[in-house]
Amino acid sequence: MEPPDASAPRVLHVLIVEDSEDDAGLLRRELSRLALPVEARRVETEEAMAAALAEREWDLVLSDYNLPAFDGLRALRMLQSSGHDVPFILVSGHIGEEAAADVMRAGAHDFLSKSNLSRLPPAVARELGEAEGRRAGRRAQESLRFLGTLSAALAETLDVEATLTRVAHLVVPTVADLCVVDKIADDRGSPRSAWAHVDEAKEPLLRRLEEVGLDLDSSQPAAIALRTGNPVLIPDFDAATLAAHTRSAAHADLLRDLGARQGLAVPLTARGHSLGAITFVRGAIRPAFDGADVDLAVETARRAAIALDNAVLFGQAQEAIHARDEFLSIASHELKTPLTTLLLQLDWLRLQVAREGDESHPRLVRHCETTERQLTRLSRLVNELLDVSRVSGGVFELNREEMDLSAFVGDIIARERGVMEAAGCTPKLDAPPMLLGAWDRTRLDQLITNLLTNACKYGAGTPVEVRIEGDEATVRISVADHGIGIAPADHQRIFERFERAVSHRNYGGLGLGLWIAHRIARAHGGGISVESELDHGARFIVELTRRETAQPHAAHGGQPAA
Amino acid sequence: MAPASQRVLVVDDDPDIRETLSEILAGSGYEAVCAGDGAEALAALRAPGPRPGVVLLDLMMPVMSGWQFREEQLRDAAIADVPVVVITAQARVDSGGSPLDAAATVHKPFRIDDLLATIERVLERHGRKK
Repeated sequence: MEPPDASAPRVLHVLIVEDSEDDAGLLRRELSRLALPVEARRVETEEAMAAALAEREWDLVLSDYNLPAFDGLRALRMLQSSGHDVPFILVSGHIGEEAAADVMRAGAHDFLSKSNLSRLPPAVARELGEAEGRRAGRRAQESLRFLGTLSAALAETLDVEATLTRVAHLVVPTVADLCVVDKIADDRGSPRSAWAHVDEAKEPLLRRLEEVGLDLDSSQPAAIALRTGNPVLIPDFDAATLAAHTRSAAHADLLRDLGARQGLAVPLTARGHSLGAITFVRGAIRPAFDGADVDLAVETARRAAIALDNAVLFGQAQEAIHARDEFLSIASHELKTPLTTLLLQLDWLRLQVAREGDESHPRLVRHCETTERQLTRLSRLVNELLDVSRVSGGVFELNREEMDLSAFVGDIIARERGVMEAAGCTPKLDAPPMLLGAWDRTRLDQLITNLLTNACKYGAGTPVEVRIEGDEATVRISVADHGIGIAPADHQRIFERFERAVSHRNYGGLGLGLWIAHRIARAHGGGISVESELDHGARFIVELTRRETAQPHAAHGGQPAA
Repeated sequence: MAPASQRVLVVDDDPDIRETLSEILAGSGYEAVCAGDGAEALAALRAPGPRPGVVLLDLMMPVMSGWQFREEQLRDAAIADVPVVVITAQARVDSGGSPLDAAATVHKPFRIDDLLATIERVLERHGRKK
């Protein structure tokens, strides 16, 4: 792949291990026949070679075999242990074939005789090409590994902040020395959203970078990338370039203090929307950004943008759910105040009628009863609305108290009997004489009332059978009707919110009763299930633990047992 | 005059609830005193004459909320021991700040029989019923 700035001539840095300056001169002369400017340095001791290797990366090592205080084999070993994949060519006078073969076996790339130096330029060109090929292969593998790590890290979070931070902290140090991620907050710009620098001591400087911010109309590389939708490469931050791409002299100084020598900004784009930009900055000791770097940066930004887009959408969905719950909570609260007043008026009216004797006002008594039934129904609906927000918000307080389940269910059935019989659904209770346990009275009442109301609604005027059984740890309450039944395909769905197995045109209600029943049963350490087929009635079975078990569960807002 | 234990302080910002509730309480043998917010309730508790045996306290009220009233009440040793029955449409009574430490909580909308039974129970427990 061509370097992006092809006009800048590449300089070939050659290390010559040779004790004779004359011989080194001959090598330089042969190298000058390559179409590249060459900078060569001669070393003749182990110490000088070590210093040269530490100082910079070399493109080529040409080494003599016999030196007064050093030799070609040791030079090769030193180069290899430095970890750099640099072509090593042995250039020697008269040595035995044995010795030459030893060096080749040890990993030298070629062997030339000093008497045949015309072979040097083509040998160097070939070895440089092969080294470049090996380097490109390694980089491609590294890029793939990096992108794999990036994707895995981004898949782990749906949080916007975490997504941006992970991007910055993966880019540094693998791809850049400094990485800044900008997420557009409004159409004017944004604070720098996340950043990372190889040198943690630069953290205070990064905070100042945050203060500078990003102006979308400026010539900051990220701003240009955002406006154009294309990568922006700044190959060299010299004083003039730095001034041209910063917002103030202080901003330029800051970038200089951060060691910025070259920059690459790429836009973050998802579903056709600009979400922000990532700026990759490298210091002096890094190689220049090349085409492969730009490709990697663009791919990094593509993956980051998808993750960011997902996180933003997820956040918006969560906010919408929260707003809905908040509204339901306020709405049901507001509805309760007039309901309370209405119920009190009714209670007052009934007390007056009772004082004068019910028999003297039979029609008034009947109308009071109807009003009471409707107000009770309205109260339940309002409570169900509140339950959606309360229960989905995870707050579900249970207040278990010791009681006799048989008597409790008996009382509920006695209370509902009038309404049920009016619908033709005479309730029958089959329960042991006494079944003790600890449950939440209000919630259990709600659960059983919901099941009885459902049985009446879908029972099509048939009797409703309630059965209670229990063993040491659990109790089972089943409510069965002989009505329209539920197709097996709908058995799961009916316990979801706002769901019903039948058309809303035929059957009213909020579609919350079974969902709330399910949540109440779960909060009691149990569950609810249904046995039914179309036209063959339905049996709902609730299982509850008799008393609070040691392990607290998610929907339980109270104190876990000590 | 009715014995002090039979006096009930009704604190609610809704005049319809106050009026109906005090009429029903009167019909059930209590003497009802009304307050429209927490500040009025404090004044009523501190007024000379027999002290109410129980306070029926709404929570969300202008001027001084039920929570604020409760804080002030508990700070004043002279009235701190009057039991409070919280009557609220709030789902969670402790979400407004400090814990209320109420003798009982009745959720709106309630049935009058439940409220009367609660008042009876609280008065009995606090040993004021004659």
